[in-house]
Amino acid sequence: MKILFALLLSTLIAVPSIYNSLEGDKKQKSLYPPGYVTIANVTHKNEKFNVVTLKREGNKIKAKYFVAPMNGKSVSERYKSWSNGKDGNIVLVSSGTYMDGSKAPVGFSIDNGIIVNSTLRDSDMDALVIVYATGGVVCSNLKNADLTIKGRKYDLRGNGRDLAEFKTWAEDEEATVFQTHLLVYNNKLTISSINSSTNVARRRFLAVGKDEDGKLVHMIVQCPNACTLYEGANKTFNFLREKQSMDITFMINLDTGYQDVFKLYNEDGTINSAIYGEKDLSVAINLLAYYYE
Amino acid sequence: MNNSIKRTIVILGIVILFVTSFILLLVGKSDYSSNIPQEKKYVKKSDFSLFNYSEKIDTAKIKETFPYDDYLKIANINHPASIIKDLADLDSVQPFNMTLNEDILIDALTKKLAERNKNIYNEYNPDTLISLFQWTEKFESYSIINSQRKVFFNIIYDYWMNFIANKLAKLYDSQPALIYDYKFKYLVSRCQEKNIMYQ
Repeated sequence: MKILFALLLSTLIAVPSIYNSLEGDKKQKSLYPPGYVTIANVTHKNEKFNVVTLKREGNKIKAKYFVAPMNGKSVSERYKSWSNGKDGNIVLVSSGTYMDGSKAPVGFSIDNGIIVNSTLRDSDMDALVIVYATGGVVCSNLKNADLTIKGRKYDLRGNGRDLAEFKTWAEDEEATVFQTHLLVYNNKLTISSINSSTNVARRRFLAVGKDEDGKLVHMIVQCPNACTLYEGANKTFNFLREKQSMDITFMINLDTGYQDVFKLYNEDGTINSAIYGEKDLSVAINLLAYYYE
Repeated sequence: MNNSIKRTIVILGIVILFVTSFILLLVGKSDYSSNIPQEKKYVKKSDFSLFNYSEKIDTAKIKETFPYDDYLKIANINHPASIIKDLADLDSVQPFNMTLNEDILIDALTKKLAERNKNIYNEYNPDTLISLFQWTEKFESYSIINSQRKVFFNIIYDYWMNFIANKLAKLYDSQPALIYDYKFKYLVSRCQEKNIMYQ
């Protein structure tokens, strides 16, 4: 009788905890629904490309960028805490702009209104990227002085008052901003073979524009074969224009050097190894994540 | 001691000599001196008054007719308090658009000053850059103290901090060994204190 009672009691205790753990697993796997993300390996003109297409229509796929350590947490720790709260709805996470020798982001960067690097690079890095709290990403060409916010144009390099007002806006609006190489802008290649790095490496890019149906898409394209930044940008530009019929608003570089961090998830939450980074998440000092919400 | 051991010792000696020379060559350019230039003491120059130029300044075209060269030569630009006085003088000469007056002095103290000193900044001269840094950081303090002129001082501060950071980046790109240079490292760390990264 005692044994029977003990068995009954342990069953009563065990069943809810097993149920909860199953629910927990279920939550971990409540991932993004089909139709929003396409992952493909494509060959164009004998060149291989690993491509992730993120459909922004309906604003269900969103971007979030991390660059400031906060409350004693590093960028990767902040990302981990945040992504745990997203119940696994993460599509991908990637390193963003470059990292310098002191493990700081290269170029102007602001995270939720907190200025991380106040230096506005004056020549080579023409992309100023704003990641909005709504999950949208916009990019302006610093060389063209065409950054427009609420109908007002800002010339951040040429006008000190514009830069001061932009910083105030970013702090007030808790904006998130970073600076990187601009490779394509309004369907024009903006990088030259003459003044770009000759380092050869695997390359990864973020292209934003409209697909052949005129719908807003964000595309991550990886060139798996090592090449220079110019070569990679040039062949990806041709691939997106010719094969994907993409109307490219902008294309920027994602760091595959010191912080080659990239994780891609399938709809079922399993890791997709079509694109992966060689470095651990903890190495990254800035992260760009895409998630479903 | 047989011949093979002697030969080994000689070869080892040559290798050690070669490696030591190579290391010395690498770090040979290091500057271990700690003589960071002291901040210049403020010495008041002869009084500069914009009123002396009232005949030359056309208030309708004040931005074009402002005596930038004389201002940079004569005015006490090392002292932000004097700059505030100059700004007040400008406001009395042309009281209709005070933002324009600020923009004139901003132009004078940023682009025009950089143009005037471009030959000085073209070569790596750490003492010059350190002095420039010391001058620039005063504007940050003044922007905190003087809320009325906060934006004015911030713009000048941002311009020169960007200038220094971009200069350090270019110098590093052309001479990577500068990271062993004491004064270069000093400048980099002073910039980092202010969230100014040079790369």
